[in-house]
Amino acid sequence: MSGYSLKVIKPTSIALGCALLLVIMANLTREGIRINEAEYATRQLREMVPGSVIQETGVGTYTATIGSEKVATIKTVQTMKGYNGLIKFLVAYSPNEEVISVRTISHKETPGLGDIIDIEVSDWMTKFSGRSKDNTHWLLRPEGDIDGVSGATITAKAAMLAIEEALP
Amino acid sequence: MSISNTSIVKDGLWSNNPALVQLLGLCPLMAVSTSVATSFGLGLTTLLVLTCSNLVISCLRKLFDEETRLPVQILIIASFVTLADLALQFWFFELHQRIGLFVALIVTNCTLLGRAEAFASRNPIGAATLDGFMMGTGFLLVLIIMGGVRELIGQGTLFAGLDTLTGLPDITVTVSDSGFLLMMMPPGAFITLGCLIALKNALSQSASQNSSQQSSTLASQDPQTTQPRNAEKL
Repeated sequence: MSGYSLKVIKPTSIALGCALLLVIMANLTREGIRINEAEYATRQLREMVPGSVIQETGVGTYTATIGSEKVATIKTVQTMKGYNGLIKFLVAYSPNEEVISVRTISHKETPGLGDIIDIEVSDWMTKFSGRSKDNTHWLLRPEGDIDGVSGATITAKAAMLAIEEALP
Repeated sequence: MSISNTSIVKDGLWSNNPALVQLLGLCPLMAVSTSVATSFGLGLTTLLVLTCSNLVISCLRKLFDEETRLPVQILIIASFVTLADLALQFWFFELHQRIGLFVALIVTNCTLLGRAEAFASRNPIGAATLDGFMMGTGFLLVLIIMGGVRELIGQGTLFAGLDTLTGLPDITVTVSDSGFLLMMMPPGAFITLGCLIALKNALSQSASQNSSQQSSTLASQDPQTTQPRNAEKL
């Protein structure tokens, strides 16, 4: 066999070996990861409206009740307008259509910049509380009422648009 | 040519420590070291990936060609990082939510390619695995020390969240209710790392002065011209 074909075959077989290993691992862990994600989302839901009972009413839609009174509707929204792929949010709003709280379930924004949408990292997302379609001009400052974030304009805008879209 | 195991251990932990001397992999080091829990998580992941990639690269070193060896090494490292990422999501989902963004960045941690190229691809399997393990341990220790210092000063706690992230029993120590916020921000990371490097250099310097005084009592070295030992390595 000539030297050239060996130079192609050797790296290619290493690459195939790596690919095989990854496919096996991805298949073994897929179901477990899906369950973990669902559990994490449920925990986030409980935190969003403290003291309430959460019931699923549709695909990605939930209602929170305290006693027999309905205190919030929670919707799942997702957007591709972020800086790096899909971002999923949970938005809870009260019966009078004001935001109660917002959580990010999954994102791949830049660490240190775009991760301001993570409640563990920054309290930026809490600034949406109390806003509704009527009392807020849904654009970033200075045109609108929402504070942008230096270095994370695209992420902040994507979050703002997704939350606005979730409101009725 | 063989390198003694003691010198590999000493290199990884102290005299050629990846974070304090080689100054590699600083991006994850700075970003993740806000608490002991996250530091421990990323440090351990890096340690595992580094050991596995060094092992496999050393096994396959005879298959590497001059022209393609770097892409192949990166491919192997990237595969192990992806495996670690999936494993974290499977077993430690909570931890993955916090450090997940940085796990992917382990690929770009220069320590890994550096050790693969400089050591694993030229040395037998045993030595390469030990080197990966010791370099990883050195990195992990610096990460944990930085995480500990920053968490203690910045938040007033120690080991907070370690239980939920790793499943170990809760051993949180609360020193104070408020903290010095600067230490949690990026400047805190630079200040802490700078202090650690200075401390390491001071210790190395005094150690090398002691040994040189013992070896030659006649040679009166001026302390001010004595270079810290690692300066030659840089």
